[in-house]
Amino acid sequence: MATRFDLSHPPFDLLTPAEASALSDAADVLFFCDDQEILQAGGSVDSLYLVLKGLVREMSAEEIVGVYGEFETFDCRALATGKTIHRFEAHEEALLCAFPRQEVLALTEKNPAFGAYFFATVSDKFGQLAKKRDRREWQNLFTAKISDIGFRQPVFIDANQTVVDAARLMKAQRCRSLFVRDGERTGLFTTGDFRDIVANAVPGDTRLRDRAQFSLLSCDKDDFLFNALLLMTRQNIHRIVVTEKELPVGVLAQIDLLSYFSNHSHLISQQLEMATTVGDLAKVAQDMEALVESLATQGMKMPQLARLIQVLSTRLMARLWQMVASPTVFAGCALLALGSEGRGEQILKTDQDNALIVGDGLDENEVAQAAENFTEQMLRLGYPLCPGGIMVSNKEWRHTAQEWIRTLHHWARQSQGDPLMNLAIFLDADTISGPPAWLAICRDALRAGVLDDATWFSRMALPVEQFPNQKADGGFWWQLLNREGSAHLDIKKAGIFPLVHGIRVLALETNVMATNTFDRLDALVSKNVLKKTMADDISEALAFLMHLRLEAGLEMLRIKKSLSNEIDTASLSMLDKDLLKDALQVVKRFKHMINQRYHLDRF
Amino acid sequence: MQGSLWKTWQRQRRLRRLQEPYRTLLSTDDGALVSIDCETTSLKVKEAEILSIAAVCIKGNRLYASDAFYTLIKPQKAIDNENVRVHGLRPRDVSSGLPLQEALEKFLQFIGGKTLLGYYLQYDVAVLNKYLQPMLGTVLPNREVEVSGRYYDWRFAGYPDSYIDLSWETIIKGLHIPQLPRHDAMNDAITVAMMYLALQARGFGVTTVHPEQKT
Repeated sequence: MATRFDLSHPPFDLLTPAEASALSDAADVLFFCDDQEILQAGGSVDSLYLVLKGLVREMSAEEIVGVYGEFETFDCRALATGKTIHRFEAHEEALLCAFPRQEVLALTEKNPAFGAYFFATVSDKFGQLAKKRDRREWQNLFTAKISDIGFRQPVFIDANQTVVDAARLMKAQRCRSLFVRDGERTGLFTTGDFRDIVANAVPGDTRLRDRAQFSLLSCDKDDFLFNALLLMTRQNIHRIVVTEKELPVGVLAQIDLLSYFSNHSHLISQQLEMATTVGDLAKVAQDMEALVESLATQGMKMPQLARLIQVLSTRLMARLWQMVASPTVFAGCALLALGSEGRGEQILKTDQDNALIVGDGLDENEVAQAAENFTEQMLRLGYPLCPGGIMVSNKEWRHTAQEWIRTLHHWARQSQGDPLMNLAIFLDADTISGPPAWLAICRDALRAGVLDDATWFSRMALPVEQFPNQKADGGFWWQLLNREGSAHLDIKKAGIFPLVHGIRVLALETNVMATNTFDRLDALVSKNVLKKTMADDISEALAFLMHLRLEAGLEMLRIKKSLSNEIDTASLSMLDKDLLKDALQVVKRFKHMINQRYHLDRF
Repeated sequence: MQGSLWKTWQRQRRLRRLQEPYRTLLSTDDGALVSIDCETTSLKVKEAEILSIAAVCIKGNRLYASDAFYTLIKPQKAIDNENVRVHGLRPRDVSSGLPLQEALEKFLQFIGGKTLLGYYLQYDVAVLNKYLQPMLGTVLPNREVEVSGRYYDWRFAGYPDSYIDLSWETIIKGLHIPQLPRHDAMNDAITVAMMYLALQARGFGVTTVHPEQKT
């Protein structure tokens, strides 16, 4: 039986039908005119409110701190404490359902999932989201097609050639199976066949025609991956031939399948190894985008996904650098990934941020040429140019280690602005290719120079306040209130940057060596700089903001728009909006903490 | 003013004619409104039998949905299959209902002397009166507020020249009231009450304040 009021939205969708029905029957309905006060700040609260129609705003003094639209619930905190710290007002004629607090509390005890929604700390609320995403993962497994997986390209060999020829070709092509052409028919010859060849002392000049397997099992490339797995399991074989219109176009190995189901990255790293031209790399770069999309929809957690992509893109860039630089330049320089790329937090290719530490005694022109070529080819691989010119093609970002140390000290002495941000970006660097010790030398020299200067850290921390609350999240609430237009939020300014930069400064001050923000958080907790609960909230909030940015970014790629940090809040689900509110609250709390620690209000 | 004088007099006369305990009961007016709705077997008052009654109170800006009145009534005659399709109450649904007399007693206890509120209330009151008159010695003396009338006044104030559609769906839309998932006497009574809350907030609640209501 349907309930009296629509309780199909979170958290009420967690109730059993009987519970929902009983709660619905215990509800009263209230109506408030525009701007009428619903709950008084500090007043006692005897109900949990569900918005049936209209909009409600949550006010702290004269500042809006939250907005509740249809099917949203407030005030969860008051449910626990019986008191609200903020004032609630109807923004637009609000029709509310009031559930008696005692009844809701009783339900939270009876129904653990429902209870968790309310009493969980912010962290737990995010976990709930992850649980919802699990369902999608299963779906993805059952709907993936063979063509989605990027099976191995076939390598052909003639049936008249010998097993030794086959071994040589496999070694040269770094592959584990060959298609054997024998007139009309096609056979398969795999590394597994060598076992029998060796065991039976088959001579090396034996023709492949006599050793290849010609009765092959195949699947069309548009068939479900799941069917391929079933076929292999049933027949107890490790490879099947992938066909397109009956013709073999590739080989699907069981190992590929398993790695797809556990981690799709395997094939990409293999393709990277085999790439010999920039064109090959461009294809790999494209595959990486698809990988990101598929892993993200499968619900892979952001920090892990970001790190996986970092590993792959580091190898991609190293491979490209190897292709464009002469062997002397390649061996004599350290190529650095800077900023988010260095921290391992860039998931989509937002821009190129890189620098070069040039070894002594190299020809300057030769290095310049290689560097310019690198930047150009990176663009071809889909990495947009850095608008700030932070790229190896810019000679400001190519120095010897000694020059770098001077530059870093020069930047550090500037009072604020670009040089300090340059420094921040450099601090997050990671070595892509070349000796990693050079970067460590530069960093250590910098640390030694600034460590006892307390005001220096304050200046460094100042950009955290660069995008003030009023403009970023305060304005965001106003946009949410204006429901007709779609509300855009610069998620980097409003959330990601303040978190990342604040953590970076804390890490620098307390001598934390890690560059990844999540690693830095862990280190800051173990050094007692941050409380564990705060660090957990920050890392969940950051992961969630990254996730939102990624989803928005994937959508932009889908409609072929250039990437930006803007998200359209109108397109967010109720749960995402809820989590976004929580995440922005965490950002605010953290900014406040940084402000206090570095006395930023003095500037 | 003429009309309201007449109504006041009529109400006094009906109250005088009431037998106890109903006289005391139906004279007690606490200033609240009660939104009522009945499901019946027919739209003709003469033929109609009541299958269910729902009532819910409004005081100020609060609709006391949690303390609502709802009862199913066992019909005296068999229900016509045609009508089941209209009200959705099958014979088996109402077979566990209360006998009519008992249901009406409880209903009177619930509404007391409150002002009645409804959508095409006249019909519901007429059907109720058909059965109440023998019990009470007169018809219901309660004041009545027709929600579609209040809606008409509000629309008229805004768009005096336009045609005003008083259909259920139009009023729901016009006042931005949520559609409740179920259609039954209880939910219809709640919907009417929500309409009234919205109209009241726009200054189109009860127009005349009676002396008793002030206290």
